[in-house]
Amino acid sequence: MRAPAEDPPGPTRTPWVARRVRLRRTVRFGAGPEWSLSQLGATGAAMGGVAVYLASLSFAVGGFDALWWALVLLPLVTMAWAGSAAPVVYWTLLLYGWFTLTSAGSFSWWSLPAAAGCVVGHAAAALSASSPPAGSFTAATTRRWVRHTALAFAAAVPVAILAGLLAGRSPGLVPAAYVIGLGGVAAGLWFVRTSPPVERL
Amino acid sequence: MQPWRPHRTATRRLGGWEPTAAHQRAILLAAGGAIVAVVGRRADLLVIVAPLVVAALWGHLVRPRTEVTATARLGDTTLREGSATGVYVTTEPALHDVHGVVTLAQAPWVERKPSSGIAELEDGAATLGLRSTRWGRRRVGTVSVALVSTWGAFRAGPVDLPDLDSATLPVPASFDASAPTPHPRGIVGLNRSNRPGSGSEFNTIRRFHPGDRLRRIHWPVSMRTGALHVTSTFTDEDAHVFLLVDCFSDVGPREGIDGRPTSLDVTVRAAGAISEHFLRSNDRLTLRTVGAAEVPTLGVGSGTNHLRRVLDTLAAISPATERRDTGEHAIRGVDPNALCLVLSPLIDPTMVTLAHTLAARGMTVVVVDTFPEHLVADPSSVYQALAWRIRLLSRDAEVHNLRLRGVPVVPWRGAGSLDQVLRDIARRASAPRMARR
Repeated sequence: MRAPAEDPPGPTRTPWVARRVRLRRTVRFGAGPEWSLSQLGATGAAMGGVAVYLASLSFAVGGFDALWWALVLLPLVTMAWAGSAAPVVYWTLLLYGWFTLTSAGSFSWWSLPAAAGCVVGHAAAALSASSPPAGSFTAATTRRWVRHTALAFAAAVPVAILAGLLAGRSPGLVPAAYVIGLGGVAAGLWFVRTSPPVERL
Repeated sequence: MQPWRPHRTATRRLGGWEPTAAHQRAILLAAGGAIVAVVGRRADLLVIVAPLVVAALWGHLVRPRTEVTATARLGDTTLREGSATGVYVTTEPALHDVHGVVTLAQAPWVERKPSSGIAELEDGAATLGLRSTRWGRRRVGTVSVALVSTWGAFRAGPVDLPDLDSATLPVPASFDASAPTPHPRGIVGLNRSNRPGSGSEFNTIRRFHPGDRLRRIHWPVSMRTGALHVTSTFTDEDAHVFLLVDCFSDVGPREGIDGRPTSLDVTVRAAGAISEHFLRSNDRLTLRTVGAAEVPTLGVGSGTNHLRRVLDTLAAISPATERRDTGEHAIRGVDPNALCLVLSPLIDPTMVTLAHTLAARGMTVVVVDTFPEHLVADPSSVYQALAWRIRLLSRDAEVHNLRLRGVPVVPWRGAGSLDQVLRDIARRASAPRMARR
């Protein structure tokens, strides 16, 4: 009798796959796409950022119409378009709100938590856009984004201290501030230009 | 016909790094906020956009400048129904601080693990699981890879990698037969023949002849009679089994290994089970298909390697892809002593005709009825039940005609399905018969 050759693969070769593939839960709202808990967490962080920003603005200007608190829902409403122009639109609206509600030449220390809310909202939307709705983020990725966000926020502290020091000074520095500020903006834009420029087809 | 070669590995470049909406947002808000802050003398606005300035510069400075290549590799290209394997995706070079996402698109009869089919690249590698739930050759879902740099500022991809292929072999149903295979003729099988010779089945005890093996000497009888006697055995022989598989019909909902079987599921799994049984008994087996295009022709063979080839051939079946097939080619050159097993749900009349043709040639033909009972068991639709009833009445008439010709039709019931009919055939072969003089 001949020795049996290698058997065809059997139906029980699954355990290593189960070990190496990480299963994650997803949520579905009605007929929409599946959303991972990580994505919902990122949206929650973006909403928290807007909430902190609005709260800071409220404290800085001594309150505003309660209707504006509905802006907290904007990241939730635009959750499916985190990778589009929607976040820039509502953040422009929020910054415009700060510009209109505060008076020229004033400075409030509440701008510091507002900066935190702004950078958290930006980072959360960017993280959300980096993965499909059902995609999850590992703990390492989340930690990295938190670390980067904290470091970026740290830049607001010296600016706030500098602004706080200069807030009550004479306006003689205004032309110089214009030059320095606009020069900085121009240098920044020159720095982040696309090199070489992107070809338009 | 070109042999089927599954694509196990797929590689593609992800292309250049493009700025994302997040990066453009950071630049716009930072620049716009800074300008408005300076022009409008809003120092606190400058504080608010300062982190965005950092984010924009940081994302720009650390943007990846190398082109990345993604590779997807399938763990196993040959699976069994219900078994799982993995898709390993790697990127070269593995970039630090780059967030990568791998997506495996949905494909029929492929379950993804995780069910979203999305995995995150960790250190440039990710693993996705997939489970094949139905036999056949198919592409697993398209793998696409996207990488995003620090701060989500630049993106490469998503790029679809070339498709990967896999073959899923049918899981044979449980089958065993205790009855002998009719017409054994070879020299290597496990079937007892009527000829004395080297084998394992006891025949008689006879006097020693020159050439007999010494270990066959029966010492008690030799001592008693005073002359050397040996144990004589019947030779072991192998039979030839010819499987004819009906690929015309695939009736019923296709629910895979976890659901109810279609008629072709039953046929293919039964063919696999019967092949496994006879090939493990060292019988020779030929498999032919009717009604399926591009199925490779399989010659006669035996053993486990041939079983693998049979299962591969069964996996290559695409139902009803050659409706003009009359089956004449399939039954050409069949060994006249072969046991012909026709596996069919007997929906298409071609298979009934072929069974009649084989029987008319004087061959031993058994029709294995693979019609799944659950198709007519569902009383939810009155009209469907009525239609089935009419069709089954017509089918019963065809089955009756086959039986009148002496072709047994046995329903597929798994283990022991063929015992009774094979015993009847063996008995019929040894029974007295009329002969023309």
